[in-house]
Amino acid sequence: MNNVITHKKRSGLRQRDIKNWIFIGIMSAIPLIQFAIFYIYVNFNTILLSFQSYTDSGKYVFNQFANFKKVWQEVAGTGVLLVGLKNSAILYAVGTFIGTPLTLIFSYYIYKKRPFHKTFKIMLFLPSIISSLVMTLVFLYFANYGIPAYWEKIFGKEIEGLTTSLKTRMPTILFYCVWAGFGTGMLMYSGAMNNISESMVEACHLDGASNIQEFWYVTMPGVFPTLTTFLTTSIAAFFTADMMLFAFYGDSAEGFLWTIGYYLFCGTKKATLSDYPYYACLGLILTLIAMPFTFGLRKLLFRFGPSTER
Amino acid sequence: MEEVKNLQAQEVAVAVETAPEQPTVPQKKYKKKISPLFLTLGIVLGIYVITMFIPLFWGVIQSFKGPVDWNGDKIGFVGKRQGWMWENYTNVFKYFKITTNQDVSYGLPMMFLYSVLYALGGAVVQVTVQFIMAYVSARFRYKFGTFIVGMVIFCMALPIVGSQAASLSLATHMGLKNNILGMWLMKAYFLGMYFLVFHAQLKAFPMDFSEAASIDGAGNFTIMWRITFPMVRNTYLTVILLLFVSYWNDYQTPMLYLPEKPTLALGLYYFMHESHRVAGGVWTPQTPHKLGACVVVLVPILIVFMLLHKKLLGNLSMGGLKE
Repeated sequence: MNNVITHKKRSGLRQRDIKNWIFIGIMSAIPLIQFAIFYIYVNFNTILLSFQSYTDSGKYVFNQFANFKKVWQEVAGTGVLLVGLKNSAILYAVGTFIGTPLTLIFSYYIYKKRPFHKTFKIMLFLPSIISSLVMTLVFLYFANYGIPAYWEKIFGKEIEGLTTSLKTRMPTILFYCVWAGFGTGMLMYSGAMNNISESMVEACHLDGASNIQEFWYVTMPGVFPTLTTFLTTSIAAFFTADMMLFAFYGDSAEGFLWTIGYYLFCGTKKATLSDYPYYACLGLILTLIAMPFTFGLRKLLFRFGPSTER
Repeated sequence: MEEVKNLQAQEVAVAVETAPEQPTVPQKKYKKKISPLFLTLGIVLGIYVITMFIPLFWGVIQSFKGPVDWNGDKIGFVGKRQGWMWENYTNVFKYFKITTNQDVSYGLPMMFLYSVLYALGGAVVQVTVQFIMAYVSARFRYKFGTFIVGMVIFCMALPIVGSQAASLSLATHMGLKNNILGMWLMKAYFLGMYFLVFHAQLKAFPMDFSEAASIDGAGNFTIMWRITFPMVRNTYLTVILLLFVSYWNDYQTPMLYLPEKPTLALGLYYFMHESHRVAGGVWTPQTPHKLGACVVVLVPILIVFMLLHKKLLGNLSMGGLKE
């Protein structure tokens, strides 16, 4: 009798498994095919294109390392990529060492629900809602026309527009990137802070900790996984961020302002079929550079970063 | 796969949630003294709000200035000589056009339509695909689910740079370029943070309801849409909203993939950076016109934000506590 019941149970389970697998198969077929084509194939094709060139007969043929040589010539010859690398590094440093700490302490203010925290939250997120093009252009005109006019009115002295003057152009653009870049980070960090155990915060205050101590010893370990995710994904952004140059200047930004991301985007936009292999090759090289940094940084942060257990 | 395991172990899966379904622990109200830290932060944030508000306000005012007023005074209020130049906005609506390579001209209404199709369609397709994949990997106890989650985390951690050329080449060959349906197909990927949002929520729901429905004879499809989906409906709508705003403002993707089907954001880009052919010459927009165009594009999204900011600014968080 028991055997019959077990057998029935098993066959019922098997039937249910089959039904489940049919359902899973139907539901995930399109997403998996899409993934296979637009992620796996595209990235595989990037690798292939890196070793190919476009012929007059309209076909891609293998050319060994010709594209790599071209990238090297571009690095050594024109210096555009080196300038791009330098500017990308400056942008990354400003974002990491100025933007991120500011986002964290602003998020802490909002998390602690201090006066006007709701207004500040909305205003900090506003640049993420408004089109970057609109935000950038309003800022650009204000920096070039508005600020010099106000300056003259207040101090009686004429100054050049902040992005027309060569001296102030780069710092102004960097300032803009930080100024308009709090949105998503603030939302994520304040969300993560809200999930910190109330008893830990209470215990910390009973021990007589100040707000700064609470921020450092309780809040920071609490948001550390979120911070780690942001910091590691920002390494890829090192090579893709265009410093808003495309919104500021379209594809005619001056060479000394270029970042790697701007170079890549403008190049791909103008590229014809024969240019794709060069940009694919450059992308592959940058990915290979970014990969060890990403995983290395991740390991370092998890090994030496603050922990809720310490 | 070893890397995937490490990532999973270290991060304890990325736990993401939104406020409506999972209310956070309420903040206990301490006696809030005015500490120097918060006073300084409050002042800094106050200054930030002012610096955010002034350029926007300035932009709106200057967009109503005529050329004489604008050239004479870049900061004053309108109306000294030419008054409120509503004509600037008439010109914006008149010249906010794109003439494509195929010599087809698109005005504001068509660009608006393409924006809606691109932004709303893309957002709905992507969120639906992410929900479905999260559902099949969270609600069935097969290794398939673990594999999918591992793959998503791994792909998110992989810093891929410059696959744009290969992607563009593929889109051109597959006829997806200049094709709204093609864009929806390209947006139908499940990788990304919002997959993890849904996965964390679906994993947390008890199986009781699904099992009860199954005993009552409901199929998998019914359980997914009629039992489980209502429980994540708020998250679904919030994520659609966030993606909609992001796609609405995106001008770089349409520039590469939809040059013959221009969206409003792309139209604004060309309005700003190019001159416009008109009968008998070329019309180049002046700064007040450009600021006016910014206001035209800004208003709809600002209205959406005003109406739905509570939903958009919900408690979105990512990352569990480090073990």
